[in-house]
Amino acid sequence: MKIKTVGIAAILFLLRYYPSSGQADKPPYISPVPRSTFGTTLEDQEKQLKNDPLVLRFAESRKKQSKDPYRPIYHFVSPESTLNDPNGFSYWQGNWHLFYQGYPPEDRRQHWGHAISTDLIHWRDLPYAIYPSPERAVFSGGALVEENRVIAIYQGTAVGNMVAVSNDPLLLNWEKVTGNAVIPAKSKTGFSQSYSVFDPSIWKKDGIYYSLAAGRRDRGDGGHFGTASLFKSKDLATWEYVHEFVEGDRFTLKGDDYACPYFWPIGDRYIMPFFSHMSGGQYLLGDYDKEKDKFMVSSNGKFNWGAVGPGGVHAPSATPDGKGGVIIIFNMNSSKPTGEWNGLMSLPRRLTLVGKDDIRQETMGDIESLRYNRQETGSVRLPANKEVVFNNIKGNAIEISAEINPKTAQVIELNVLRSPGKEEYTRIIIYKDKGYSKGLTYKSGEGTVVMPADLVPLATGEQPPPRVPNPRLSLISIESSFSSTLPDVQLRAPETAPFQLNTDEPVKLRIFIDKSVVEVFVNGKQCVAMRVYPGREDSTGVSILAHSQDAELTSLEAWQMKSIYNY
Amino acid sequence: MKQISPIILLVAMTLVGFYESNAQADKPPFISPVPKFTFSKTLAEQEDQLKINPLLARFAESRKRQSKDPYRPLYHFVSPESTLNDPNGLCFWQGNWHMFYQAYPPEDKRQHWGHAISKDLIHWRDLPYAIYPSPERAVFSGATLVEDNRVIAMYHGTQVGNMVATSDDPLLLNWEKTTKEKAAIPLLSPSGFPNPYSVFDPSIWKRDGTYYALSAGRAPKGTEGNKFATTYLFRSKDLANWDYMHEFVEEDRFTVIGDDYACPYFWPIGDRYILPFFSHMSGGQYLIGDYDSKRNKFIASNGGKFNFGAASPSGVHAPSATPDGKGGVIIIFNMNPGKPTGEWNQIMTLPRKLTLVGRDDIRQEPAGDIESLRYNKQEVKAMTLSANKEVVLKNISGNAMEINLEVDVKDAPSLELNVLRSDGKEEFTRITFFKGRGFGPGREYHFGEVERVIQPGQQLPAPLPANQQPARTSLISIESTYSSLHPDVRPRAPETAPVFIDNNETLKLRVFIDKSVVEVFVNGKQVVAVRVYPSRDDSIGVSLRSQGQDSELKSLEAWQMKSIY
Repeated sequence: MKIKTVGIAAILFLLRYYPSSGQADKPPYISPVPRSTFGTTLEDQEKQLKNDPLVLRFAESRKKQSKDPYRPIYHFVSPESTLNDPNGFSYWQGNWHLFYQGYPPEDRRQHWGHAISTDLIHWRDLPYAIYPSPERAVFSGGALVEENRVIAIYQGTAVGNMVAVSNDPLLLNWEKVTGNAVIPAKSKTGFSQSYSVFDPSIWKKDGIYYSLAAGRRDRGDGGHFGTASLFKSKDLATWEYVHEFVEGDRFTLKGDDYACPYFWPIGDRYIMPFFSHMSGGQYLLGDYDKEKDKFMVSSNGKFNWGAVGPGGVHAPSATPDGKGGVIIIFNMNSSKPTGEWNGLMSLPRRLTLVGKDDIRQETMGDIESLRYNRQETGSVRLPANKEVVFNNIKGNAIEISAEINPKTAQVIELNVLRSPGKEEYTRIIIYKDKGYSKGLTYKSGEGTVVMPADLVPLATGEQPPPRVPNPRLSLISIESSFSSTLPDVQLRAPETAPFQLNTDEPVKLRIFIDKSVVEVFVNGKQCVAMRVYPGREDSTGVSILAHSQDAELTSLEAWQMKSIYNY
Repeated sequence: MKQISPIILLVAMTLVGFYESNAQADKPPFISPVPKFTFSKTLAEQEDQLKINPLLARFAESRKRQSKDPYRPLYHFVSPESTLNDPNGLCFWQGNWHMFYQAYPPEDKRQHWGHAISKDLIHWRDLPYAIYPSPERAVFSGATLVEDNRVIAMYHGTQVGNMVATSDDPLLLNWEKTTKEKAAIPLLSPSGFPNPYSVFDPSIWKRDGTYYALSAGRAPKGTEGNKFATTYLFRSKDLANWDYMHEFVEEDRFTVIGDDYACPYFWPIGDRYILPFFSHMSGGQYLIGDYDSKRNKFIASNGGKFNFGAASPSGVHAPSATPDGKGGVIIIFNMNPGKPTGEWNQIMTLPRKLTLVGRDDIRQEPAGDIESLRYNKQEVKAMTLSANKEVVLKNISGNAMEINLEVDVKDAPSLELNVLRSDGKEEFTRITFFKGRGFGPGREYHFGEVERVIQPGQQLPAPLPANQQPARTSLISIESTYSSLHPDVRPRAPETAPVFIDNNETLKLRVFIDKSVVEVFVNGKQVVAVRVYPSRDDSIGVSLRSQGQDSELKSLEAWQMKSIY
């Protein structure tokens, strides 16, 4: 109680001292957003939160915005204003903590927004966690959970990379280590540094803290490629630059950077998910050479398959799941103006390592708890080139779980958010065996090259050999060209990702549709996601079509999905 | 020549008699049962001999017979008999463009080098097979180098190694293998130890009196032994004896795990160098870079693609390339099939001219006198394309045509041109332009300076209208999912390529439709191409659709195209 009074006094003081946000936007960049100090016991914290002005304001804002037809009901959206990158994803004292780039309405400089969940699906808003000053804005960063505290490291614009720690039950109170940038953006000597100071991540090895700072470096010939600078520290306050961390990346593209990097073990290897401002969310996979303190990269993969935006899978935040996997969540950017909000979070995904170089992606969290009003189609024969419309499957906040036996059909198309007259529809397309083959194997010193099976007929005119149990990759694609007839939708080109569909393996789709987002998980292996904005109220239908040859829909179940918010 | 013909016939009969079946031919020394002729040295005599050449008579007969095939193109090169694979050794010699290609003679389906010539890169004239097997089992792909007094071909001879052959007659009809019954670069090292290189598709060039050759490969690289493309450099003074030097390409950050540099070519382009090649995984592509002539290395600074998905089906396959003498490179590709079509299946693309733009970018335009094929011109007047309304162009139809159109897409997020469209839209091939939907420039980083931050401003900036935003790369795509109702087609996933269109630039498409192929040139900068196989006779229509917002059609012209045969 005492503390609450102090908190309100502090808020009033701040508000009086900074009557407009215009004045806040110069050093020391104090935020005019209400800020409270919380008790250190869970009980005290819960009591304070009941009457917290920010939490009350968030609830009001959620209610007001709930009428927006494009606002999702079971994907996380910020309670007020909009959001950008998720930050510092972590698990602490019984809760998953999701921080994110929040933009308070009264001061649009980034603050760390904060929500918690016990099931990774239902999120509860907490007050802003980290406020600006001395930094101008609280940019993105990662978190490290220790036994007795959580450490956040992030970029503080205008000053450099910052460390803040918290150890209370709900991570409400954060203290900035040194009160200043621990890795300053500017060198003290006035000379250029050999690194850029930007999005950091953090981990600990043998009692030493390590941190990355994101960047992009000119290779010397005008080509810019991603780079990550490694720093180390014993006390979080004093950091020493070590060297460039990533070796052997010949996977990212010219123009990519490693923004929002995370670095965690996965299986017996390491993964570095990151965000490219050019091509969106992606990852590098490799080994952590702990003697040389280098990340030796052997392969890569994407979470976003085209340009970063519009409507794409943006920056990750990731944390180990304690079982060898990594839990990851992304913000998705927008492709249509939608009032004060526009970005949202993807569903959380669990990444696991398969073999040496492959990553599986599956849904994570208790998504099944949202299902109600189940409908099913039963087994349906899909005659070639004939679209089958399901009269009993409809909705724009639904899950569809389908199993398809493509048989000899090579292209299967499932349309969702389809209007009865097909003025609008979003296409989900499976191209069986239309991704890359294994390529040509070369042998030196003996014989000649060995042709991959699917190229033998091209090269030699021989009849193709019988199918081998290691077919080429298949492709999953979302196409939104016809998703909306509205004039202000900036549609995305088809988003297409490879996945391995083995011989005789059925296609298993889990499709999550939530107002302005479609996420498609295929066979627990791959995921493609996109923002879409149907303009018609009747764009809620579902249909399926097998191209050129017959296929079979083995089963299709659909559920309406409950809202995760209590308005 | 009257004396020679009977001799040739005798030789041919001997060969046919001696190798009654190709099963017998398919063992060392791998002599081909296909008729083979020796030609005179003068053009006049060669022309006389060709008039009565039995292979040419057989080719003409085969072309005529196959001309009824509804999927056989009229103005793209297809082999006269059987099918084709990679183009090889594209070059210009004594007034003719020479195109060789992987051919499969019907009586012996081991690869021989097929041969055709052209004055304009569009009309091709068949010549007899140029290079026959033996000592190699099959005459695989390779390149040529034109010298003042001869043309040098270098190719992979399966089971023996890389071969050199030369020719100096007017039509390049007679070829002599430099090292006779063995390979110039043998597969196996004489010592019995493994070679530090693979022997496969070669290319050849000359610098300061020394010949250089590449040999394609793929080898474990990097920290985990994943296999990446590589190519091995050799040199020779006499074409017969070759030294292995080292791996040739450095700084390739552009190909991916599984790619190889098959069918490599290495030529200057502008003030730099280009290495077009074929990946058995991802099809035709190239590297741009500099030739470090001291270290004899190619330092790559950029990569690009001619094929944007898997190598097959229906994709742009292997290149053959040659300098155009004006700083550019002429390139042609085979395209693999997406449906069985009798004895033939593959075709060549239209030849393209590549030029260097700036430091790292390549423009692609049609090369050769394609305009000479046009007839029966039809036009569509300028009009507004209303949002979300498909406009079927009633007077434009065909399946062997060129369409030339200009559109101001304004703020429309996509513009769609459907071709090979049936009246009821059961079948259509969709060409879509996504304005500004490719990659942007990414994020700039400054070292040691304060990062640029969003300027003080309390509202999130509203997105600018598309026509006021800084130009971003656009995308051009061909989707063939609905091209055919046939049960035996193998469609590609959408073939989508980046193309930079400035804000003040209108969209200009040149679309070449030829029975089972669609090639789309965009603003003289980029090309996408796929094979398609419409099943309906009425799949010849054309329509336009502007998504979301209105576009302005400035002009559209279409021509039927004459056959080149």
